[in-house]
Amino acid sequence: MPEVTLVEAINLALARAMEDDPNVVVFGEDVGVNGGVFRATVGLQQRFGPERVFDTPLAELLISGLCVGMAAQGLKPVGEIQFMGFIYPCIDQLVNHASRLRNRTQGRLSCPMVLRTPHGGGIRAPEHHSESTEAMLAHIPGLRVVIPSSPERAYGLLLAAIRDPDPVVFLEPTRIYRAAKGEVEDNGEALPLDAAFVLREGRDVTLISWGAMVKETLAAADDARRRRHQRRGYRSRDPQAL
Amino acid sequence: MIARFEVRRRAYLAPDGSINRQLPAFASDTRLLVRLYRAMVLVRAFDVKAVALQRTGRLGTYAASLGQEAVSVGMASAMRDEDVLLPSYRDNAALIWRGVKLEEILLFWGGDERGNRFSGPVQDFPFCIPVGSQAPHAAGVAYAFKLRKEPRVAVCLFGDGATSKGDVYEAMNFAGVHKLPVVFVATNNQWAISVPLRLQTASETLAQKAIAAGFIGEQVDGNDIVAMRAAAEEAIEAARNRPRAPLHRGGHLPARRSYDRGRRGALPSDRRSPGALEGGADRAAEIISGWSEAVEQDGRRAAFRRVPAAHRRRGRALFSR
Repeated sequence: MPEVTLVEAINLALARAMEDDPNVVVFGEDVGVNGGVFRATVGLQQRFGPERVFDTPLAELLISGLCVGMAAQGLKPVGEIQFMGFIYPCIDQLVNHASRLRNRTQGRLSCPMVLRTPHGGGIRAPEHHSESTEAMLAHIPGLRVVIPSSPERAYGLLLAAIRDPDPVVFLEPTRIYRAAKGEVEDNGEALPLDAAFVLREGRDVTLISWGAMVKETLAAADDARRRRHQRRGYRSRDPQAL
Repeated sequence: MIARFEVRRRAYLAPDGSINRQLPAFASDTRLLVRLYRAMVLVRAFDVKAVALQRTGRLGTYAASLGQEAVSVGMASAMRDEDVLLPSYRDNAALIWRGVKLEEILLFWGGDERGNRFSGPVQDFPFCIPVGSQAPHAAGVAYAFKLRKEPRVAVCLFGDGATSKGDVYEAMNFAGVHKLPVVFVATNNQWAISVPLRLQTASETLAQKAIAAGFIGEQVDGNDIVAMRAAAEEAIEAARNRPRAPLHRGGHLPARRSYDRGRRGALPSDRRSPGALEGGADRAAEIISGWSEAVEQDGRRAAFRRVPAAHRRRGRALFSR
């Protein structure tokens, strides 16, 4: 099995989804000719044509609104916002339209769209390029928020997001776009959207994490295991405050 | 001078009801004119009833469509069933023309979203409440038509207030770039919250905003049902039959239009007073042979008859508080 980076896994999943389903369209700023600022969409326009993979004007509200209109027509739009700091003009579309179209029309129309964007800090970039406001999005009823933490999970979860009948915001941890490498079989198999991945079994502590921080979380678990004999010391902390 | 633009205004009927230019061919179809007129009368009667229900607390809110009947009816009547309507909340007449039942509209305004699962074309959008935010949807719908090479058109209706929003500009701009089969209709009802048109925009017309997006903008007398219907038909069919390839660059393609319902100088209060707002409806009536008072009575009866149906569908408990 070939070893790929997380961003290459995103590219593989997009290509697979477009190959399998002619309704999948990919668009955003610089996604077409340029192949995306992080190369997530590289090669897609050459392979699937400029009608299914296209560059939009610099207008994020438009990108999210196009998704809603296309999705209501049965397309499977995958819009890209160049950095998460620019997703905020889309909030009206996400809250007032995308997440509730199925419910407010009692199932007559639906909104199978995906809005992808690079997410999180740690890339030596300024404000607006290092945002992690996923908690805000996760509080929007009717909207799924997905953040992968490895190439394998990025591939399987993005396929699941595109196939999902309802809107999904797919946040891609920029810091591990290339730092995370792993074997990915391009077999078109999706992973479940609503299940947590148990990366390490244990008895004493539950660590919950997502995205780029999963690496640090696993390291912390390793560290805790090494220092198991010191646990008595931790117990002497203030349990009532906890 | 590197560019020069002009905005045409379309009107067949003078304010006094006289015909000021030769009528289009469809105007000799008396049965069609009667249908258009009936639809306008029906929605006006419905409007009166719905406002009364709102004032007495039985509808949580209701957006009156008083005075813009001819815009909605003119546009909807020129659409095909397979086209997609993206209405604002004042476009009751367009929904009704396309088969939405009056009780479904009442259900919606009473807070029951079953009203959005309506009897109109299944792909039509429900009322859009956040002003202008349906314009990008129209561009998305039209993009889907273009991608699938379907001869269908998206028709997006909004008011003058929406033209102040970025949503509308972004959508029109994109539609221009991709030459999409979509018609944008800006009804200059001057009911925007809460300033007059001169404080919404310094543009001389709303139609010229289409020129900024690279396509034709035309101003139509929105009280003139003959002009509205003619303009609607021309724009919708031009959008449907847009040249496929190669496309002109920079030229004015009669494929996407923005309508600006001209009401210069008129105050919103003018149109609420009886008589002053009759405009198109009355004038159209004069050229309809066979029209009678009975049409209006029919409209009123139809509008009032549907209220009990809304009660039934909503459940007695909700309506009887």
